[in-house]
Amino acid sequence: MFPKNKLKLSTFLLLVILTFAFLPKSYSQEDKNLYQKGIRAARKGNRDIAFINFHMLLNNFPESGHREQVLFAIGEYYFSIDNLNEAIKTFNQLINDYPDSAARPFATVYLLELSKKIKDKTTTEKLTKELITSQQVSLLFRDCKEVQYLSSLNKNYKVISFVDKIEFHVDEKIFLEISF
Amino acid sequence: MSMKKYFWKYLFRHFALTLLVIFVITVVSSALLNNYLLSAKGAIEQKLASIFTYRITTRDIYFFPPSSLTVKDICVYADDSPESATPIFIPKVKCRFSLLKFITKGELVIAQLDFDEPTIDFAFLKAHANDIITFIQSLTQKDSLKVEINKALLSVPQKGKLPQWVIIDSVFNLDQKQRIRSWGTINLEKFIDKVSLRQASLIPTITSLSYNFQGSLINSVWTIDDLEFKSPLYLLRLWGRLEDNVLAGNGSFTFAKLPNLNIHDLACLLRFDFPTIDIQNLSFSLEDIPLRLKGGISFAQPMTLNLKFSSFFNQSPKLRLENPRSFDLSTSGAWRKNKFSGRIKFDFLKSIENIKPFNKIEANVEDLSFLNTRDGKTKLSLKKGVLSYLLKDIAYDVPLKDFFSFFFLENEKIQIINFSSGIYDGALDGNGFIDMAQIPIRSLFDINVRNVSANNLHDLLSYCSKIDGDLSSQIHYQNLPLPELTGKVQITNGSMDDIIFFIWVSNFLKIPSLQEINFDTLSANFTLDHNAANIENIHLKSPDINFDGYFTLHATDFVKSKLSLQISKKLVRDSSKLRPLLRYLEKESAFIDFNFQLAGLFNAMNFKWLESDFKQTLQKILPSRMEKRLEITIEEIVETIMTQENSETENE
Repeated sequence: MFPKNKLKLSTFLLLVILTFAFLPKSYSQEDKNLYQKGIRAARKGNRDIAFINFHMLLNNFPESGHREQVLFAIGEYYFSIDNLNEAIKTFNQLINDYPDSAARPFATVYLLELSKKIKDKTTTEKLTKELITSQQVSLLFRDCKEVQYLSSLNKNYKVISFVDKIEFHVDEKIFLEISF
Repeated sequence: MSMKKYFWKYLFRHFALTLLVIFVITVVSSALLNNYLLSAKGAIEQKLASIFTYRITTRDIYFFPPSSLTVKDICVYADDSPESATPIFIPKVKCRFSLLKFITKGELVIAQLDFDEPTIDFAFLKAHANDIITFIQSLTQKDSLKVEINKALLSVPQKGKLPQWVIIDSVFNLDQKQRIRSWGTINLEKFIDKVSLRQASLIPTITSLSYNFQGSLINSVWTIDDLEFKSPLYLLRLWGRLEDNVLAGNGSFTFAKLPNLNIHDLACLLRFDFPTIDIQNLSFSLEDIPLRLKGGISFAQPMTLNLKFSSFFNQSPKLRLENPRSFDLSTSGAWRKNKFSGRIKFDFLKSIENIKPFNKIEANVEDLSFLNTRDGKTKLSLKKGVLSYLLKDIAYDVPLKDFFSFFFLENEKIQIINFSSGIYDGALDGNGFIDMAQIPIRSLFDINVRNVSANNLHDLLSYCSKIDGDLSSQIHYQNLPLPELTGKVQITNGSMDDIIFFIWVSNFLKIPSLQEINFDTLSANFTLDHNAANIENIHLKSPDINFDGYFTLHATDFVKSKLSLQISKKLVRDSSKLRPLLRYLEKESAFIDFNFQLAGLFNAMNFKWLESDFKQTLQKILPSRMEKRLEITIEEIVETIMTQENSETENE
């Protein structure tokens, strides 16, 4: 039989070890839960609820594996409610932190539209050229090239690159056309 | 004898006797005075030297009744040494003095001085002008004085050469209130090179200049009430102050044969420090346009100038940039043997839309000269020069040699110009006009270029470094309403290599010989303006390749192009990729068509293979997975080529 004090100590140590062993799992599980909640809300059309969940995820779980998608979704939301400054900040953060993101072209499109709203001609020109460069195509047998992206806010994005123009579609509606 | 007759006889006898006495007294006193002057010559010279601080000698001093002294061969020496130079030599000077003051007060007060053909060194005169004026004033004792100078020779020293001469005839009146009135002529004929006189006269030339002056000199300050310089070409009038070598004044300037260039509101601030004139401000207006000249001119050998001529100089830099009539014309260089070598830069400042200011023309010239020809034209000659046209901070250089141009300069607002020149290893000629009735000046030129090696033009067009052949071109240029260059170019018996488009096609079709193409003719029309550079009706003809199309590069770096390539079946047989396809192609046609479209940014162009019979045939026989693989391969090749091209451009 162990002495009482030693038993208490052992129990305590076991509890601590178990807590720390399971903590990351519960930690990462929570961010995933938040993400899934946001996704479900977005699919039901509750974009405000989706935003709340994504916002909590971003603030509380900065290392989350869903951060890239969440940043884009939050940027979309800010754009939709005309919060221009926060939208610009969020999309720029996405591009800086995830330069190879599949959402990058669409984030750039939003930044382009935002620069037009705030009448920043220099940024508009710069972003237009950036978009055109990023969508450079060589079309041998096709007339165009398409790339699609589904956002966490359940919006369907599509960029169609022709030889002399680029079309950006959101939910099958044309959002921006650049001809050159 | 009657009383009357006796009276007249008596009177005549006494009158004759009186005259005889006066005559004898005059002759005797003159003789005595001249004798005295002869003996006192040395003392007189010493007295003059003590007043004037320079050694002075004379040959003779004569008195002529009633009140005239003549001095012959006056020499003023620079120093006391026996070999001293004589900066002033006066063969004869006649002095008239006031007889009344001489008799009543015993004072010799000079009332008039007449100098005959004095020879004066200009540098000495300039250095001692104040001493000379003070000396003359001491002779007059603040009375009035008249000075006449007949055919004075002013010697202007030239470094390493014989001096040049200015001939002056002048009358100078100083009244008791120290007011000065002077008039005369200045003859500068000897400035002109005698050789060139056989052909023509120089521009600008001043053979004879008359002047008229009214003013005063008090305490070394000249007050100019009216100073007029007149020549057959122009009339200049000035009024103001000259103090400590600084002239501040106003005036007017009229050209005899160009009345539209008359100036009535001239304002000037000039500093004279021989041989330099520092033009701190010379401003006026022409047709409501304020203009200003600033800079410096040095008359030392060689004569140099550094001048800037600006319009709307009083506007802020920002406003000048928006003003279509603002410009800067600057020039710096030297005149040697009547030819100018240096730089001339013309800068129209107005920015167009959001493009940086452009439309700057700069010429670096060697031996530029102007001549009047016998048929009334003006000939401009240039031994060598480089004409640069600046567009968006990039200079496009055109080297010229043995350039000649003929134009009418006088009395015409529109100047018709004909010109010819060597350019690289070829030649150019053309004509045009300049409309000086407005500012900015309107100009229009038609130029023919022939027999230039295309490769030599790589300074103008970087792609010419990749093209060889015999180039000729017809070019049209106008600067208003907006600068525009249009024309046509042909290159014959040439070759081109390392052209990105053909590298791409060569890699795509696996035809190595496409990377270097020998052709019979390559021609195109072109247009270059502030919006775009456009090459259209491109046509290349060679035994195995024909090429047509257009290519437009906008100022915003966007490209629009459609190109059509015809490759002979003979060349297709060289391609390991395409050879197997030959059996699917029509036997009648000797060429295969490849049509392409290019668009997008110049550094990241989009490419599309357009429809053609060959493409349709190929699509029928290629499986779809091969189509996709081909597209991926081509995208990678294009990206590699673009990256290479961009890094080459950055390195340049």
